[in-house]
Amino acid sequence: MVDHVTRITVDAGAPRAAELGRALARLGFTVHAGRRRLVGESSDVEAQDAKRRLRALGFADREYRVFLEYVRRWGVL
Amino acid sequence: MSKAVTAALPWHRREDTWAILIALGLVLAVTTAFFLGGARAVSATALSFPTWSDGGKLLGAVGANPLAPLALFGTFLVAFSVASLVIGWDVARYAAGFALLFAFSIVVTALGSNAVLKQWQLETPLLALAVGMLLGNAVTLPAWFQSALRTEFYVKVGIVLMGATLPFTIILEAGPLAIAQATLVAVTTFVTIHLAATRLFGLDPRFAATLGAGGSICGVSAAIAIGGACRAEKSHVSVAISMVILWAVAMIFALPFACRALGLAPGVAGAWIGTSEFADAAGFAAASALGDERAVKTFTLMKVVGRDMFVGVWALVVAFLSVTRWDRERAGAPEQVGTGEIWRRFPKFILGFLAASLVVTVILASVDTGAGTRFSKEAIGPLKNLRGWAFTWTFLSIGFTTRFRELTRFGWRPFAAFAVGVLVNVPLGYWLSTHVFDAYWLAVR
Repeated sequence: MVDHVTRITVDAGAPRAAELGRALARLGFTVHAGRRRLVGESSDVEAQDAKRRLRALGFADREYRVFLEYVRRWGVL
Repeated sequence: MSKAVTAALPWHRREDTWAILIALGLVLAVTTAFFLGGARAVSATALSFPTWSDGGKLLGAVGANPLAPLALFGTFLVAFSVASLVIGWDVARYAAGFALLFAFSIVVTALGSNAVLKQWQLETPLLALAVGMLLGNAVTLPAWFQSALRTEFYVKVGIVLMGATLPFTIILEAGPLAIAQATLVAVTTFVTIHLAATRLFGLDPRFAATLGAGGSICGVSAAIAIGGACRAEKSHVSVAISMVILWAVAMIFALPFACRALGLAPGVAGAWIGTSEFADAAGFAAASALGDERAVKTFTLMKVVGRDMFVGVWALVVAFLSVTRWDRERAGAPEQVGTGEIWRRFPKFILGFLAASLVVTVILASVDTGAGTRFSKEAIGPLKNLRGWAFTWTFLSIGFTTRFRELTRFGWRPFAAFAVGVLVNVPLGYWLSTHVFDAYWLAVR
């Protein structure tokens, strides 16, 4: 009934920003590096799963922000 | 269209933006025509049918203004096709589908104006739903027709047009009251569903929050916004949506029936429906089924001003709870939640609703009484009529897209948790509308 985009943002100046970007790319995220932020987007990986896998790779919750957007599919009330 | 593109759309490709542009465009076009002396041209597009009991009267009304159906169809076809083009829908398929949807809307509106069907309380809203559900569940609809069944898009156009028929002064006067009533019911229902889901039925707190949002704030939109804010699983959001649709469709028939059986005044009935219906589109169907403009007005105040507007604030609170309580599996600083969440989750079409109300109120305040009366009749009247058509396409789309077989794929626990919320929400909404705030709802004209 819904599609989703999981968006994970990292401050470009954060100590492990580049490392996080590489980890997100390995998890299947499309990563865009901006001047101020690094943004990883995926419409396949769910937010909880991404967070679990980032934790398993040793990244702390504080190092990034997760934004999950659901969009109703056609025709849903 | 890829999923990523659908979700990460820029502002000019979002449904809300086009609902606002189309509806405000209509308000400005009608207003301009009125002041340039072209009111007659405007009324040509505002097709309406009189109450009829013999076919001659109906045919006579159509014959008196034979171009009206074409003018109405052409106006909306052009507006919706431009929106489709920019949003990225297949314009040719959409236009073909809209043509058929329009034909259905003419038939159900003509039938809904029949005196006998009106006596049986089978007016256009319920008739549109019934026809849609019957056909949608009995036959496989062609894909090109399905592409025009944009329930959310049509209801948003209708809500913004609703703003033009609701003076801003009424929103300012009744708004705080609507917010108070809505907040009381929403908080109580949300907490009830959340507690029932987590404590009684052992569901995940994020799933419980998504169910609670669907049952208390603004239906499917809330389940989507809150599900995203607390990072609920996709399957959980789908179950919450099924719950909302199931109960919302049941309430479309149950609430107007109960309002009539209890002899409620239209204003009070609209407020109750606004408090206790689960989705905007379904609520408009229920309120319109009462056949009184006051019910639609108080419903809008309750639902749009009292409930929908605050989904962003709820999202912020739930996101904060999610990262600080439900999501912390180990010690350490939690993830940050920004106040930007409020704006990101805010339903933007409400801005169009408020803008339309403000524009019309300023116009009425700046002309003399005579011109104001003429403006109400020759400009606001046709806008009300256009709003009615947008809602008829909404009701037909609800009917055509409600597939009962698809709504039964859920476990008994989420159903039970949601049902507990309904048992609290409906009586509480009734009591607040009929005993606590009734004087205010009765005063809305």
